[in-house]
Order: sequence, then structure tokens, then C-alpha cells
Amino acid sequence: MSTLELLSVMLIVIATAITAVLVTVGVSSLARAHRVRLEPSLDDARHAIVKALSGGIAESNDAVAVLGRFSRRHVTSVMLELAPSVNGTSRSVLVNLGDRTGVLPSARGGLRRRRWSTRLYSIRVLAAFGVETEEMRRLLADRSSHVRAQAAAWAVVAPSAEVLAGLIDLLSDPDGLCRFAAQDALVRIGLAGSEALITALDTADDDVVRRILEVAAAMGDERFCDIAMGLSVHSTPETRALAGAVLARTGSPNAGPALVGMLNDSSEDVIRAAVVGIAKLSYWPGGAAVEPLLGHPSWELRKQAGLTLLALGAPGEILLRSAAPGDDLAAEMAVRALQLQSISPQEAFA
Amino acid sequence: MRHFYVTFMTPLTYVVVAYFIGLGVFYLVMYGSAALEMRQYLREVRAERYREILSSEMAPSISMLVPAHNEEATIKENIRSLLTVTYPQLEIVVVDDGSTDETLSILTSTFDLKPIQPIYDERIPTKHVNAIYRAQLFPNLIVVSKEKGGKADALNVALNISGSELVCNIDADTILDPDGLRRLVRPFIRSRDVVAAGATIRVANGCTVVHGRLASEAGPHRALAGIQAVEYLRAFLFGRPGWNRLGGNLLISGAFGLFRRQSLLETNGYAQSVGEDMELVVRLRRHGYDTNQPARIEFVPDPVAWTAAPTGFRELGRQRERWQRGFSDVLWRHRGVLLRPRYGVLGMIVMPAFVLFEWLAPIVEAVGLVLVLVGVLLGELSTLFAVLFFSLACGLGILLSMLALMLEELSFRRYGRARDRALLVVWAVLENLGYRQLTVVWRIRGIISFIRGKKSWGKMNRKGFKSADEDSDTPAIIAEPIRPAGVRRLAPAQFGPALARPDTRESVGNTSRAL
Repeated sequence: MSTLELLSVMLIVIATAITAVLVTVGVSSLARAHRVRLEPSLDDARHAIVKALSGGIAESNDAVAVLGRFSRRHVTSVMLELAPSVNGTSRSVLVNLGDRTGVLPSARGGLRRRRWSTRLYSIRVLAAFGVETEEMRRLLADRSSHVRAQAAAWAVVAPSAEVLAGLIDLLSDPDGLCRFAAQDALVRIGLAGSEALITALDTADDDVVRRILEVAAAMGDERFCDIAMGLSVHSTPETRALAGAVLARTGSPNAGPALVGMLNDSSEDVIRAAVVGIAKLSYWPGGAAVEPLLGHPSWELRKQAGLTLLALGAPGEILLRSAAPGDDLAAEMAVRALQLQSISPQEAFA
Repeated sequence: MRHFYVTFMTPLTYVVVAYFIGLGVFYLVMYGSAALEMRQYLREVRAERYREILSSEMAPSISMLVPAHNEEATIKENIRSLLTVTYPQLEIVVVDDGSTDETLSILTSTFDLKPIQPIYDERIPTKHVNAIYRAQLFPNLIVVSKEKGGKADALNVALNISGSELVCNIDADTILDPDGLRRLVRPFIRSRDVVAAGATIRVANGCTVVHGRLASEAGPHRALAGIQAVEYLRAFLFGRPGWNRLGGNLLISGAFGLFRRQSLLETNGYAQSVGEDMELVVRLRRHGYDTNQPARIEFVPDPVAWTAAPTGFRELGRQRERWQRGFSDVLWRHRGVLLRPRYGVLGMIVMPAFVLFEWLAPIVEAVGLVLVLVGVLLGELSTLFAVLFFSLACGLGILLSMLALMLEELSFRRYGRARDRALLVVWAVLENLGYRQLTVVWRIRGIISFIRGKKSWGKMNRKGFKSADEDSDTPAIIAEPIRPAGVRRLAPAQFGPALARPDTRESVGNTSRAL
């Protein structure tokens, strides 16, 4: 084959490919145009649903008739638009409509499909409607991490003992999104999940203990105080620092002295967590123990000590003003902190 | 002359043809990889409600770092746009890098700035900071006034001051989707190994901005901006997702990217370079290999940010010259990575591919065009060969652009009007008839100016977001929020000395420059 023939063949191949792509773009564009033309009719569907929501289940027959004119995909998308905005009786009506139009049965069926993307979409549809099924609970242990994460996000609405156990199991999931979703769900579930978390701490490994402490630090349940005090002498600095954060959040009367005790820790991270905690609790008796940290070699610790003393109010201010006159580091940070007094505390903690 | 051509140039002609075939195959592989990546991503996010998953107390905190120099035309709208971003723990740090215009005064009067004195550690040395302010209307908005030091210096100041786990650099002329951060933070939640993530940026020309938000997404109606819109689609829809799947992402646009703050501090922050966005990513990846720590770079294909593209040839030429210069600078700085097995995929695949198919492309293309022309003039090549060769080169370019348009049509479908989509097809064809050859000239100029050691950013004129009837290819504002009562305007003299003006504009990156 000559060079010219080769070039010609290549050109023909490229021209054919361009034509094929253009046809695809054209067909897709036509499909989109059809969707745009359908939009006014979909507005009718939206109005019918809203009417049914305001009129109750008895009024939903008309909506079912109107929705019957559209494909399930369109009905699902319209219902998903409305689902996050409704609650209580209206949600019951919406679920009823979803059942009668086949949206929810189809999604329930989708939970058992082989393709992970179908299971993921189905659980998202069911979660948007606030529906609870046995299959959804099982999806907390699904083989796809996307599905597990979504199941964890759904679990907030159904915090049974079984679901809580599933969420705690997800705290050791290899996928970060699953761990995040589980932690977030446990925080949102709140006090109802505390007991399960406390029980789980007995058997959890170090990583899971830390993740439970992160949840506890966001929850602020006083029941975690004793556990955090126990963990404040844990072998790993990260766990001890998190224990300090939990102590600060619980606001327990025992938390302040415990945090002061942590100021003697060998790890800078732990000391920093304790100093932050003392500021959060406004535990002014701890000021005297924080003051020597103004001269600590670590800049971060010096800064945090200065800010903490400032946050303690008048007792802290006295300590700042008397900060070790011979110690340049301490004096410099004390001056910096005192300069912040001219502006509001909110601004000072920028 | 004829003897010279036959002896030396004819083999070179075959080299050029082979290069074009190799380039075509390379981009088709990238396309396949990008298509798979997009399919996976779209399945992941179908019907996802970001609010539920990410509006969480457990979400990592983010500081947005916004360098601004002489941005009076766009700064107000852009900061408003950033303030509309929905994210649970968000701080915005705007750094006025010695502006000589009204940038700081506009910020002061619009957001009611008051001086503050935060205690922060200057982990990365920077130029002198004149003052730090906090907005009274929006407590999460901090504005820093500093001496002029360039974009990297401004970003480093913001990096020192910010206290969040993640930092997001965004150009002052970039409009961000309200849900943009939620989408971009996802890879960081997924894995601790991720040190940086970028997302798709689109051309804002032709779009409408209302109260700092993109109200309508329309395609540009003028050829120059339209062709750039096609280039952006190509770069972001299959260049970067393609590399992402192959584990070789080297580019996060300077206009919008999210980074782990600790990783940035460990690698000494942003470096003074014309291509600082690419340089940073290469440095982060290299640091990962050097210290044996994972350093993954992720790309989120969702279009989350919009930026105004240059509307004049001169400005565009300067921009492209600067990009190529920056690209050359990065490759030169990190030449030690090239073909070194210890740098794994980065050294053995990604860097060589970038050198071969991105950096070298304008040179080969120019040589090819010259050779064919000379060959025809000397009668060594037939006119038919020249026409076929030129058509093939154009055809390949058109095919790649069309594939990008197809990906857009099958994925995000952000261009709603049929007219916009039809125009994009027209621009994809027109791009190859003159524009592409011009970019070859600009890019070669960039390589030459790099060799000559040129360091400046060059002058860039901001057109801002004007009304639609002024310029149909400028993002149009159709509504202006009313200034809140009690806002005071400070005199520019309060913010320290006025200094010279550099350009702090972003670069989209280099991907698909060869297309």
C-alpha cells in the first residue's frame, strides 16, 4: 500500500468516526429536545402530586392517573425532586403514590440486583422517600463500598440495634467514604447511639476506638467522660489527644481536672488537645498549669496557650500579664495574646 | 536543495507522520480511559444528595485561598459567588497582592472589613503582610493586604493564615457552583492518601451571573471564546479523567483545586513559577515518591467552576505563550523525574508522555507543516499528499473534539440550548482551520521565551462581568445586590503602599494542547 493510499484510508476512517460521533450527539440532542418538550406536561405531574400532598391519600387517585401518562423514569425524577421537602403525613402520601405508580416497588426490586449501580440508585430512591426495608439494613454489609456508604447515610432514619451494630462495623471499613458515612450517621443519630458505642469500645481495636472517640467528640454526651478519662492514658498519643477532645466536649465537672492532668503528657498533640479543651470548658483553675506553656519550644503550643489564657477571662489575663519576664518566648506570645484583647473574642480566635 | 530535502527531510517527513499516528493512538487510549472513568463517576453520583452526606460535623474544614491583584472588575461578584458556596466549615481568605487599583477598597466597602490581628505562624516565608481584616457581614471572610509578591506568594500568605485541614485555591475571576466544594471534597473523605483534587472548569463567556451565582449556562457565541470552550471540554472531559484512571494526573487548574494543607506545608507551599499549578502537583507527587508516602491526585469530572476566557487574540496569545513557558519550566525543574524507575508511573509513563505528546507537539506540528509545504514547492511531494496530510491532521483534531462533545452530551449536558450545542460543533471544526496553527505559533513562542529566561506573567486585561448587551461573550450580570446599610469605605491609603501590577490569572493547564 502506497503512502497516499494509507493516508486516504486513514482519512476515510476518521471521517466515518466523525460522522458516527455526530450522529450520536444528534440522537442524544433529539432525546434531550423531547425531554424539554415534555417539561410542561411534567409540570402537570408536579401539580398533581402537590395537590395530592395537600389533600391526603384520598386525593391521590387523580395524581396516579396523571402520573400514569409518564414513564417510570420521569415519575421517579419528579418525585425525587419533591421527596426531600416533605415530611409527616405528606411523606406518607408520597410513599403511597410511589407504591401505586411502581416507583417504590421497582426500587425495592433494585436492591437485589447484581449491578452495584442499580442497588445504589435504588437505595437512594428509597432513602429519599424515607422508606425502611429489611434489604436496606442488609446493604450495610453490601459488597460495594458505594452502596454501603449510602446505606449508612440512610441508617439515620432507622437506628435500631441491628443498624447501630452495622454502623459500628462500618467504622473499620477499608473505604474512607463508608467510615465517614458511618461516623456521620452515628453523630446524627445522637444520644440513641451512645450506649452502643460505649459497648463497642470494650472490644474495638485502636483504629475503631479512635473513630468512636471522633464521634463522641462531636456528640458531647457526658456518658463518654469516664471512658475518655480512662483512655487519656492510652498507649497511642492520637487516642489520648482524642480522649482530651471528648473530655472537653462532655462538659463534665471531672473533665477540667482530667485535662489539666493531660498537660504533663509526653506528646505535643495531647498537650495541645488538653489546652484547647481547657479553653472550651473555660476551666479557669487550669490557667496556672497552662501558663508555663507560653514558653514551650513549640510555636503551636505557645499560641494555643496564649489563646486559652485569653479565653479564661480575667484569671487568664492576669497570668498573661505576669508571664515569665525573663522568658522571651513566653513574653512575646503573652504580648501577642494581650494585643488581641482590643478586639472581640470571636475575632481573636481567627 | 532538492538533494538536501531527499536526503534529510524525507525521512523526517515519515517521522512526523509516525508521530501524528502515535499521537492519535495516544489520545484514543486516553478517550477510552476517560469514558470508563466518566461512566463510573456518573453511576456513583446518580441521585446522590450531597447535603445529606457532606453537610456534616465530621466533614473536613476548608479554607478557600483567593489571590487577587488588580481584580476590581470582578472581585465583588466573585467573592459573593464564594460566599454562596454551601459547606459546613468554610473560611475564605482573600489576599490582595499589592493591587494598584480599587480591589481592596471595593472589598472593604462591600463586605465591611475590620482589622484583626490573628496569631499565625509564618511557616512559609512571604512578602510583608500590611494588614489582615475580617468582614463584619460574613465572619468567615478574611482579607489580607500584602506587598506585591506574585500569585504564589499571595497563596503562601493565605496558606500560613488558614487553619483548615484542606485548602482550596481559587482565582478571583472564577465563579464556583454552590455545591462545588461538596463534590470536590469527596476524594479526600474516601482516602487519606489523596493530597490534591481538581475538578472541571468551564468557559463562563456567554453565561449569566446573578448575585455571584451562575444563573444560566450558555455557550459562547463568538468564535474565539467558542473555540476555547471546545478546548476546555476536551481538556477536562477526557484529558484529565483519562489520566485520572491511568493514575497519572499531573494537572490541577490554578483556577480551582483542593489540597491537603499539611502536604502543602511539607513541600514548602506554592513556588514562584509561571506554571505554579502544575509545578505544585508534580512536586507533591515527587515528594510522595521521595518520602515513600502515598500522594494521590484525584480529578472530579463534575463541572464546578467557571472562568472568563480571553476574548482578544493578543490576550489569548499571551496566555498560551505563558502556559507553554510555565509548562516548559515545570518539565525543566523536574527533569530528574524523567525515566527514573524510582518515580514509578510518574517517571516512566506520565512525564515522558507529557514531554512527547504535549511539550513537543507544537514543534512537531510546525516542522510537519513546513516540511510538507517545502516538499510541495520542490516537487518532492504531490499536492494530493499535502492535502491528504493536512486533512488527516485536521480530521484527527475534529474527531477528538467531537468525542469530547459526545462525552458532554452523554454526561453532564450543561449546555441546554440546541443552538449552543450546534455552535460547539461549528467551533470544533473551525478550530482546526487557522486557530490551531496560531496556537502552535504561540506555544513555540512560549518555548523560546522559556529558553531566553523570561519570567514575567505578562499583562492581562480584565473585562469583568459586564451586561449582556455590551459584549455577548462576557459573562453577564443581570442583577446587582443592594449594598447593606452601614458599610463604610476606607481610603486606599489605609492599606499600605501601592505597588506594581502583575497578572495573577490562572492557567487551565496543558492537557490537550497538542490537539
